[in-house]
Amino acid sequence: MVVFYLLPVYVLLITGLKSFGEVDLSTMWRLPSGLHFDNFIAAFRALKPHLRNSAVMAIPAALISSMLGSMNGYVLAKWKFRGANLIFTLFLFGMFIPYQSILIPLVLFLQRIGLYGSIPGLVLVHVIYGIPITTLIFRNYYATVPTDVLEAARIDGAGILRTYGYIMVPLSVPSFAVALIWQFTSIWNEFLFAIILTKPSSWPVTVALNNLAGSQIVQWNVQMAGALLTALPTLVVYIFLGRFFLRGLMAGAVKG
Amino acid sequence: MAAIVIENVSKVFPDGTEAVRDLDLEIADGEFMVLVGPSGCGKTTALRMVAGLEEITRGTIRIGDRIVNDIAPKDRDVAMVFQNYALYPHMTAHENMAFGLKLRKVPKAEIDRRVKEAAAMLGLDEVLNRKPKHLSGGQRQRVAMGRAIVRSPQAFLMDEPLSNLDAKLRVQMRAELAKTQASLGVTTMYVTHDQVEAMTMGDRVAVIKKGLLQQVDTPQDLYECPVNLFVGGFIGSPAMNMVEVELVWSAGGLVAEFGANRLEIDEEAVAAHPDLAAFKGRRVILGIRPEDMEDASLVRGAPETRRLPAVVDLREALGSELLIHFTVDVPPVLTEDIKELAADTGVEAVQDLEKRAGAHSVFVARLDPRSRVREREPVELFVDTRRVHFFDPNTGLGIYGDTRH
Repeated sequence: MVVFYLLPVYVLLITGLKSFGEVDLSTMWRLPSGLHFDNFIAAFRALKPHLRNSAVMAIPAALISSMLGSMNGYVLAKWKFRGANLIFTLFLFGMFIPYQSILIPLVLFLQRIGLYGSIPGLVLVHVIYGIPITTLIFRNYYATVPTDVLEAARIDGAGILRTYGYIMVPLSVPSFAVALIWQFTSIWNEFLFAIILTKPSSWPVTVALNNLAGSQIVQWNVQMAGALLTALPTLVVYIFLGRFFLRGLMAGAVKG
Repeated sequence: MAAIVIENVSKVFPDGTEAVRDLDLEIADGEFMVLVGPSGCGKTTALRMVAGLEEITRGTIRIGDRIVNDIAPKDRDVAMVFQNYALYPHMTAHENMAFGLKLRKVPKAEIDRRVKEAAAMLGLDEVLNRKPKHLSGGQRQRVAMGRAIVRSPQAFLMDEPLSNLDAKLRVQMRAELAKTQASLGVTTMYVTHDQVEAMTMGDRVAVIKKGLLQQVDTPQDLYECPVNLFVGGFIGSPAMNMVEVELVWSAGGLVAEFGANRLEIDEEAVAAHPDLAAFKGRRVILGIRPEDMEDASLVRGAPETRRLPAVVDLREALGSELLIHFTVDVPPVLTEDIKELAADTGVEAVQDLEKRAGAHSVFVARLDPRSRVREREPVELFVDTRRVHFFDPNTGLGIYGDTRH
């Protein structure tokens, strides 16, 4: 199974390292004759501004949607007001709205507020589209935090905001890791919004990668190298944030 | 420090349950008041209303000279110890204790001084830098306690703080906690379902049943003069034995008859319960504490008229005392109070009680360990009828007289 799933990665890697002349369907499984790192340099040169665009888009969007999700989750889990569950359900519905179905109103809306074609506009869209999933992640985690701990904080003198800042945020580091990885990866890899809502100068890397292919010939080796470069940041984020998947953070708070 | 005055307080939950009904309770400055009752009786709700975690439906609560009904928990200047400790898991013991002071903008040096002081008092000096998960149950409990102490609040509110500890530690912490409270002199409201805790720790004890306050008294008064069957049955372990008897005045004095048994009631008891006169020839419920029975062969000159013949069903030797269980051939007392007490033990206890209705009741006697009684063998028990209790079978109220009520 693992080998099966890794086959495309293998092809991606070896093709990225081949010279253009070696790239051929008949030899696609063969190892490269030498290591041609110049493919990577060429791809990097072409993609560099777009990698920057992607970073400028994905990092703030992931951070902001995680923050908002965490605040929503906190209120929905622990400060139950009338209709809190209904609102939560409506939030979840947001996850099931297909991107395609809202494209036209979305474009019109962004044009109206003057963000169409810009990176901030894309950030806004991703933040809003991310709220349902991040709210879900945080609400379900916060629901497991014993209410007694919050009541103790209340008596100790913390209001709704300080309880959030001093107690809930430190306790939800693992949830932040989950939400950030999820959000970063899906925003980074997203293509549809990226191509519809931007102009060439603000293309994220996914769109730029697609346009790396010339109209006549496709330089498969450069294309593959570019794909690897594009995938690299999500891998780095995963490795970096994965360390915060700490287990048992709640241990010792309450008995039983 | 301050007195806590609860006046006419009721709590009705949105679903209509009335958890607390017209509670009147005054906790004096520095007093250790224990609220005790079966689970679900509303004692915790009462405590949470004082803490401000639960809204007050009716009535007023005063802490010191302020009415606190509409004051937020943080401004009531009370500290609470939770049943499950509710420590902040990401903070060290030191940070846990310091949190409340930090939020109140107490200078850092002062926070440090107070935390160190409390830690020394509680024996936590060595573990101040550990997080809760690296602390033992007893240490966590002490950190929770320390978190309350460092605040030097007007009052401590404690919600079954010892119930999660194992038996041995519980006894030790019980003494430590009572000692700490006494030395600090902070007004304390303490909730528990354990009547032993209530008796040993409280300056006064408030017994609550189904949201209604039954009796507030010192532990000894509660034990000696329970106002009703519920209090009589709840306080004391093993519980008071209860039996419905007919009171007969004869030449020798007052005699209680049940089944084939006749017990002459001591004149002292008759004199102490003047209201008994009104029950002449009627049925009352007689309550006998286990320790007021003794193996007649160990009592010099035990009068024949104050004896109960029994066959031992079960013998429990506890070293310092000997408990024997035996049956009496009269139906068990089945008032609402008694069912309530059985319900606290478990569903089986209620079913068991109802199954035996019309048959026999089980008595428990606490004997001197020198007694030679054996299981399935008969024994003559001497009943100290100076110390028996009487209850009205219709109302469940204790029968005393002008001397008391």
